[in-house]
Amino acid sequence: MEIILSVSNLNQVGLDVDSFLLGTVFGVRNEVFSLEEIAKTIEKTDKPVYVNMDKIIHEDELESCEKFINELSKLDIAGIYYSDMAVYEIAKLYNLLDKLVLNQHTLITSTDDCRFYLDLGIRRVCLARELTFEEIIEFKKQCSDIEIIIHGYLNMFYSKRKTLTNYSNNYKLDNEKKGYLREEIRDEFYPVVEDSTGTHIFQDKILNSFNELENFSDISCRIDSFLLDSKYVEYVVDIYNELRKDFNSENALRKYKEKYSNLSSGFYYKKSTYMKK
Amino acid sequence: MIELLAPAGDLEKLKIALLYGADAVYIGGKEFSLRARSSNFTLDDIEEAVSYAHNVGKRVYVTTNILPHDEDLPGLDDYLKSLRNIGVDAVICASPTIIEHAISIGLEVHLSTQASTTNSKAISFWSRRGVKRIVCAREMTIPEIEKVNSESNIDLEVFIHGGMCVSYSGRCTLSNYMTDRDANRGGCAHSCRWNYQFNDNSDIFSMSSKDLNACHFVPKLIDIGVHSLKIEGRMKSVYYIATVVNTYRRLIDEYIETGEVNLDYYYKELQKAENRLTATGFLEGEPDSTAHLYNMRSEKPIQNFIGYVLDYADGYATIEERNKFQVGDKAEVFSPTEIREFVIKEIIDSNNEFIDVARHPKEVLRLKIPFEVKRHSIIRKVVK
Repeated sequence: MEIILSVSNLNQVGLDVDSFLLGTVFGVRNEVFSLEEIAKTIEKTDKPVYVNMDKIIHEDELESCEKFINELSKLDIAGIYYSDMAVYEIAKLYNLLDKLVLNQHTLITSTDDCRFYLDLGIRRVCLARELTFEEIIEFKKQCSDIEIIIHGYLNMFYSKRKTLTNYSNNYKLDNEKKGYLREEIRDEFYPVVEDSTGTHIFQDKILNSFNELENFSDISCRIDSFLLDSKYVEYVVDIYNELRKDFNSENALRKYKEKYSNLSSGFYYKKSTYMKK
Repeated sequence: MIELLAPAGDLEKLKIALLYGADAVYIGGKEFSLRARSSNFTLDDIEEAVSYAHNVGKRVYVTTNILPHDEDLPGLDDYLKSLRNIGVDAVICASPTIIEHAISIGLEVHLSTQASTTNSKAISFWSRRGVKRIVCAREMTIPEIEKVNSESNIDLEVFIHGGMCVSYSGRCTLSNYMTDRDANRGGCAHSCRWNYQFNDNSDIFSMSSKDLNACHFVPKLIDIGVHSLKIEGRMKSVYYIATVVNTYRRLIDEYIETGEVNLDYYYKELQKAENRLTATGFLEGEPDSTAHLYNMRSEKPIQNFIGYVLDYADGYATIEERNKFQVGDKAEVFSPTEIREFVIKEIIDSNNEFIDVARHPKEVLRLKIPFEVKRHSIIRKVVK
């Protein structure tokens, strides 16, 4: 089991995980790190460093995207997360196909679709967040190299629109680019963030996989630190390490619950279908 | 020749769309299609639809655009082969498994807007694999469409009218999370259209975007050379389909024939179909606050559609009533070929009695109309 940490500040590169994922201007929902910072991080750590380029790429961005990939090809990166097939097309030119990790957020929901992409010669495929635990286990049986998010705020909405800016303009409010949305009849607070790539809305509770981890032995497991504070990330990394040593460590869970609440099991046991029965 | 592509929720709407000027229609089957509630076509219906359309020299595309889970896939092969044997002109898909399978058995494949295709390199990937047409992402601007079209060797299809996701299509699980209904398998509950509060601000707002109306960009899209202009709305009424399709038909024909066109006139014609607030999506660039609904009511009931012509004989049209009207009202007959005004002078009900006011939607009535009207024509009140 590889535990990957998507880092939100470079101090986290010291944490005890197997590899790190660094955000870039071509990624969504990440802290943005420059090429220079990425290069320095690679020098600093012995562990694999991935970079995130999972935004939907528009025609005018192709040139800068290619330049960026060209620069990355000169660094000893472990891989590139991507969503748009433009990145695949460019990476092929730079012989980087075996470094690609497909991360389409919501799209990979069948093992056949997953294998379609793996068969293109890429390294790994991230599964859609809305898969159940049972489905993930089936993927593990059928697909060679898959990744899931095991901990963090799960995104549930990616818009190119500057929804929060437009909202504050419409109601003549100060422009806040971060906050919470609450649906009028639900007592749930969904984190929402607007950045240069658009607007992103997250589930109100933090996904955890404390109980499921032991079943994910052949899966790459990512802790997504976006929107989480550094202390909390450190704490969570410790718990997963403890669990990796002893999957039945009740102690870890009890300790967590003494300090934090607001946990969820995401879609593990929550099947969504065509219509409400 | 540019294609005008219309939605059809059932066989009647399909016939109306084609009659009123669409070159092709897209429909959903019972399986593998989004918009589960509007997918009314059994394989037999699809066969009838294709036969009808082909007889009048037009095309039918079938949406197989869900993102399947493993449990959805058994039956895919049989279903796609049935569509091929029926002779559908293309399938619209987003899942690579469905795309590859459809191509391998000889179906033409159009890449759904659910794939959010926004650049020529992604297009080149799908084009090499045999995809014949790309439905552009809703997020593309006119200059982007122009550039992508010139960089790519493939047909582009562009949405010009109707509702649109506020997120990138397919990149939203609000509905999955909030209602257990899977947006990418046809269960979307339109959770983005519900009312939200942002932080502790008191204004309650809907995230929904206004509907798209690209009327003013149609000449530019024709000039660019895109292959197909697409209208959204498999759930819409016969009246809506007829009005929107016919308006764009006339606009396109006039522009192609004369090189100029009074867009404001057509814009007003489109508004007769529905009172929904519209904007231009991403075509003019990133949408600002005027492109969102917030707490404006999007839909006011529209009451100018008063009847649907079933037959005409001896100076009287037999119609099915839709909205209240009365003797003295000024009305117009709207058919695939003309719009012609008249004043309502006689209304006869099913008991053969003259009445002053028609009050019962769906009632079959006879109306005196001083010129011949064809079956499937639409009668609407003239509202000044």
